[in-house]
Amino acid sequence: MLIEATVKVLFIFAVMVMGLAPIITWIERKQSAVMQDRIGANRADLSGITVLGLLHPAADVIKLMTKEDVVPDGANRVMHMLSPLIAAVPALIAFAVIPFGGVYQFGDTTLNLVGADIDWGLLYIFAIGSIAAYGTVLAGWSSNNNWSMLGGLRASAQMISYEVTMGLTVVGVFMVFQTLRLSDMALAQDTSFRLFGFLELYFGLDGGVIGWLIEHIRVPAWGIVYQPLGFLMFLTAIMAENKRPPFDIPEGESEIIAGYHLEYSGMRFGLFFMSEFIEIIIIAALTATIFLGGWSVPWWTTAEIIDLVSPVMGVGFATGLCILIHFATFMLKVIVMIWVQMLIRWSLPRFRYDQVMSLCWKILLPLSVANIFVTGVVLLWLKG
Amino acid sequence: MTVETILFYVFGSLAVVSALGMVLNIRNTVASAMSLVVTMVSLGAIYLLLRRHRRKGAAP
Repeated sequence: MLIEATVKVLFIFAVMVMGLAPIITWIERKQSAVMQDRIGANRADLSGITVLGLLHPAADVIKLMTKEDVVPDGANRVMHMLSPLIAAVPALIAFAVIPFGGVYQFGDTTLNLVGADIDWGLLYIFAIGSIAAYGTVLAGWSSNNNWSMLGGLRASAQMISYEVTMGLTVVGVFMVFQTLRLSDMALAQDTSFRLFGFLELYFGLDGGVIGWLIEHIRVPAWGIVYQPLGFLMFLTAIMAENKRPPFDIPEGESEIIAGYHLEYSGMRFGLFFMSEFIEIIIIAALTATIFLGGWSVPWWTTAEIIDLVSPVMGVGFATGLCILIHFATFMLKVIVMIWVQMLIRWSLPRFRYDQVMSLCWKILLPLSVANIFVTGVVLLWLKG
Repeated sequence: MTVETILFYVFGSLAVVSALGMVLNIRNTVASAMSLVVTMVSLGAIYLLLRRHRRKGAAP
């Protein structure tokens, strides 16, 4: 039990945090370079070997670690030192509830590929995410700098506003899947339904070519199919929660220099920087789990894969192969979502402060309430 | 004494101390507010020690 949990935690940290986060900084540089017709990072080299600029993340870490750690005059020392940690720790521990694979049976032992399979997993992520707001607000307050203070105030207003909307946008998904547990949510999406099944149900069309088409045109039962509007609104809200462009008004280089982390240097700035990039992975993993089917392969359920492979290779090998396929599918979805976020970040200019606020309170909030209402009506109608 | 008992005393005393810190920090409002946050977090930890991360009736 303890060994299993330790191995899972180490695996999540090795793959998600230590493996993916530094690469994302490289992806951001290279993708922006490609989008702007530049070459991008390629100067960090070890005796002539540059590996497409992949040494830049390592150079970044060495630079941040060896830089002087400055605490400005008149700053609240304790809070100034503590707030990068308050910002970074929630980003690190939110991975605990995200499933990176399903539940597998090896003989009589069960393998559940999620760090902590708690019943209110999504609420845990929201609770942890609201702690991260304290880090930014305190960083702005404790720096004894008016620009930082403005950035902290903007961050508090933005993050609290978008937290409300973010919670409301996923209520429709809870209503569809009837659960808050992320592993159950991913399991519920490991199936597909007939897109034109209603023709058979209500119009009695079956047999012949039409019946074959009805039977074989299937759509994976993903959250994005049930809740397309919820997906768009959730992605907007959670990207605003991460404070990256186009929602980076708390940083706003052209207005308030760098906002809440203006007075930070060295690895304390690095922690803010790192938590932002880890949050990108969390956003990608969370949207993949809730809306894009998590680890499930579209059109191929777990039982179908195991049934297909086990006559040739045996059940144990089939289950092992299934784990690999599911984990690869999950990582593919995560990487696609990271790519989408980078695309949005480098396509749109920064919104004005009032635009961000009115987007939240005047557009997203009424739309999400309307989404909940329509979902409820449809669910009641389907149940009869 | 089990691990849970020790954790209960750790978080219980943390909750009491930080609650006192919230009341007594009249000069520094932000420190007072942060003490409130620490109180809430330690209360959350005590709640977890009661195994309330599981639905009632679900397998432990």
